[in-house]
Amino acid sequence: MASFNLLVGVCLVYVLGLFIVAFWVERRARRGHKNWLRSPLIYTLSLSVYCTAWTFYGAVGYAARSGLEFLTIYLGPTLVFIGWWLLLRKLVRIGKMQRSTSIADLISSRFGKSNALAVIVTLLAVIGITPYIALQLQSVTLSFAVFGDMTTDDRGAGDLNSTAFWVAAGLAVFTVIFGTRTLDINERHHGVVMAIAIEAVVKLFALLAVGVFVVWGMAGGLTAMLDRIDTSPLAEWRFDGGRWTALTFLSAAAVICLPRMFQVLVVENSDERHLGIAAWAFPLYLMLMSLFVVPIAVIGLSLMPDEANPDLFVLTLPLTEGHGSLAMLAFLGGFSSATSMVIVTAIALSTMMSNHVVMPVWLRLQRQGATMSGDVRNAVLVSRRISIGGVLLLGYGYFRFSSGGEALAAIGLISFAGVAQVLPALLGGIFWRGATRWGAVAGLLGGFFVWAYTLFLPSFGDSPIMPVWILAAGPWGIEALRPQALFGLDGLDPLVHALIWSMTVNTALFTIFSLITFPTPLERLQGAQIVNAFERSGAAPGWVGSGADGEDLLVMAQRIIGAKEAQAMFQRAAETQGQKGYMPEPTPEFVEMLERELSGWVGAATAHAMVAQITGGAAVSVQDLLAMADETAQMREYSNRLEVKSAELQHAARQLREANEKLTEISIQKDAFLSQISHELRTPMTSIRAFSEILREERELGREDMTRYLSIIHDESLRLTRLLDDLLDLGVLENGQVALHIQDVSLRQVIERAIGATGLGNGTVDLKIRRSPAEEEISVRTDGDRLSQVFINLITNARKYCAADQPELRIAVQDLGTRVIVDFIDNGAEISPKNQSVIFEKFTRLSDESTAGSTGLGLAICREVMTKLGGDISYLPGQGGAAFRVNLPVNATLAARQSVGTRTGTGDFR
Amino acid sequence: MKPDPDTPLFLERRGYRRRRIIDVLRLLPFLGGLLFVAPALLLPAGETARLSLTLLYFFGVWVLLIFVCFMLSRSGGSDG
Repeated sequence: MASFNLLVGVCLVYVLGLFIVAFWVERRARRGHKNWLRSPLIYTLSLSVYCTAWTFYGAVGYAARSGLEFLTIYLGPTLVFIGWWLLLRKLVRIGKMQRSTSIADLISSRFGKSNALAVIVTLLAVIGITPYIALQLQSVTLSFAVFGDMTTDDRGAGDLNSTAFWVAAGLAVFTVIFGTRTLDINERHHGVVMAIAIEAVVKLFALLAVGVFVVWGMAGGLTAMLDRIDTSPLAEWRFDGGRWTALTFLSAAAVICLPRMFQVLVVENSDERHLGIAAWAFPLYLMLMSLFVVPIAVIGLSLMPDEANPDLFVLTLPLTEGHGSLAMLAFLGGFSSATSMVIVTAIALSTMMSNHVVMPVWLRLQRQGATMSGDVRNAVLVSRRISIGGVLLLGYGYFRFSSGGEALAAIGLISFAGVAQVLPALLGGIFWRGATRWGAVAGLLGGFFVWAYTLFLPSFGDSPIMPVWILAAGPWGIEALRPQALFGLDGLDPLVHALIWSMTVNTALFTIFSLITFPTPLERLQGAQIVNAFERSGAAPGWVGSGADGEDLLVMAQRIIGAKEAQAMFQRAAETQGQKGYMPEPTPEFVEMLERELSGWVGAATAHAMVAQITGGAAVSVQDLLAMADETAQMREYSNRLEVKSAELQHAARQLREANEKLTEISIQKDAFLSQISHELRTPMTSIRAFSEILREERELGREDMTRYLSIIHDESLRLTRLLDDLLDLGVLENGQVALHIQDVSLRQVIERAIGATGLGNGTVDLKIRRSPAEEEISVRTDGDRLSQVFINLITNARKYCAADQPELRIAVQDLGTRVIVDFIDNGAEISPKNQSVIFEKFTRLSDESTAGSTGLGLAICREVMTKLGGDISYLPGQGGAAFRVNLPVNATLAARQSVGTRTGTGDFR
Repeated sequence: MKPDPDTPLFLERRGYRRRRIIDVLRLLPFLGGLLFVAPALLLPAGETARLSLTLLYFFGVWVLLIFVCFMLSRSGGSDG
């Protein structure tokens, strides 16, 4: 049998062990060995602070009194965790993004860093949680008392109150040592978390051990156990649908809103990915914790005397069976549950109280404000230590005052309902950009008041604050205001009644006030950032055009986070800005970053207030918000314009490329032209030189020969002249420097003039011409000389190249109204399709035989002339001979004006 | 809502599968809530199945949910 002293000794050894582990871990963490401290397993185990002594002892008592209802306390959190993607993921992301130090800090951040709101949440949490701390003290005290009763130690049960006091004092010391060692970045406490994780293992192992002992050691196996469950008094229990649903909801809300859960879930989270593992691992832990609750309750009810407290079955069953070591293990499990809860709660609450109540007051009392010299860190640490002491003292006070209520579960549920009042403001703040601080304040206060009136105050029983007669008849005898039957909602379970009313009032006030009030600029900025936590990683700066002095900022930062750390931080910031030294430019981004860092130490509201003091309160205004939105719109507009411009550029580049290709082509053509023209000039020159040399050298030339040679020289010079004339003509035409003499002419006269010029008019020569003069009677406004030049060329060509026995040229005219077509069709050989494409090029000769006198420029000149006249000339295939079509406008001046745009198009023939 | 130009409208097969797994992950708490609350609301007042069976039902659903969440979180939402 364990004696009382032994028990105290075991407790002390156990706590000392935790001390050493926590100390060792802190030291490793400081040296940077954090890898395994940040494992998802540690994270999941630390979440087990949800399972308090109420769970460890109380669940069995709860089951003994209300059957399966205890399950709801675990089912709610299970739902929240397996639905982590919906809510917890966002909560953790926001918490890290805003460097939240507590749930009050997060809510205050969301609603424009309002300290008033943080104070309300803090007070609500303290009032709601204090009974819960008292509950832990009570359970530890009771478990001590159990051992005291069971053993015949001369000290007896000892003084219950003094036990509770020493437990509270011991916990305070532990929490102060490890919870406030340093103002660690992001409020992470590696030592405490490790201690909590170890305690999580101890309590799970202890409860499972007792459960296994009960099922296989006492009941005789699984099937026997199931039989005993069905025959036990518990089998009489029936579902209460309303209460069942309400409790599931309540526990789900509590696991989100409880300050200690926020502490381990968000603040102590080192890696968001751990949440994905805790999502199933934590429900598994809860499931295992509740696995043996019903068996223990059933066996306890059947074996223990009626007056035995079912809350302590976990402890008393092994003890009465004579298994002292198992009982000791169970005791340690309960002790672990209570201590871990108290430690984490004390840290969470003290952070809230220190950051939102003590520090703002202290800062206000310091006349010089945030820039005065001295170390704020000590003040923060002291205020936090005092807060921890205060929280535990409150718990102890409540324990003394309530003198140990009987059912642990009832207190736990009242506490849950209290903190659940934060839920509407939290969820609304995270998912609804329209939520405002007035909405949050109204909802919190309204819900809190209803909770206090309908649940919290009546829980004291007959007390001066709420005597029994008020419960029965309502204040001033107004029945509608009876605390447990508001407005005639009678016959409900008090808890369900309070929950329905408080949540309804809370949500309604929150929504209505949010809708009718207008948020401050900072609220809107924060709201947009928090609601869109995943869409936008880059934060919009909350400071604009800050007139902050970098030195003042450094002085302030040094006082809060320490000289070395602050200097390192400023140096890093200066480096990122591309500067040397310790003094970065106080840009809005830097001030924003600094505020965020500071808020990890003293909370968002305090950090904001301190920075505001230095920057002269140059925080964001509505105009800035609008300007910011404007800027975004402008940027978008600018990028759109850039896109259009780049499309235009691409288009231009394509055109340039095409032009370049054309230029290259033309350059090649020009080279070919030059080489060809030198060849053309060289041929007559060669013969001229040759014959003139003969004339000079040969003295004995006959007169006949001399005349022949001279005539050859003369012919060749004529040909040379003609060639040069043609080239000149072509050059003039191509350069567009030609002067046209536009006048009304008769097409018939032009054709006749052309025929006459070729010397064919008398009909004696070899080429026969067929015409229909009636069709030719068309008056055309054009340059008659140029047109006849084209016709002459075509007729000469027919005469030269028509290889028929009886050459014949048909000239057909068609009047198309605005245009006239003149076809020249001979009866010789057609031009092959391959040649059709080149005949209009310069120096193109299809056969070499009858080249005498041909310059090879005729058709090229024709085409240029026709282009100038607003018409064109083309080869007409399929006419049974070489056929050329001349297409000219009736009015050349008109056509020339119209074809300005298409001129380059016609030029493409080249 | 205006479509975000930065995120593609259609995803390749793996990304698509991951999105659907996350969809299930989102629905899971509602399914769990239904299964947890159903016996309390659907059973006629005053009647109940054998307590041992009820107990087995709840733990069965519990284990099932944990298992499904484990599988989904491992294959889908692990990169947070």
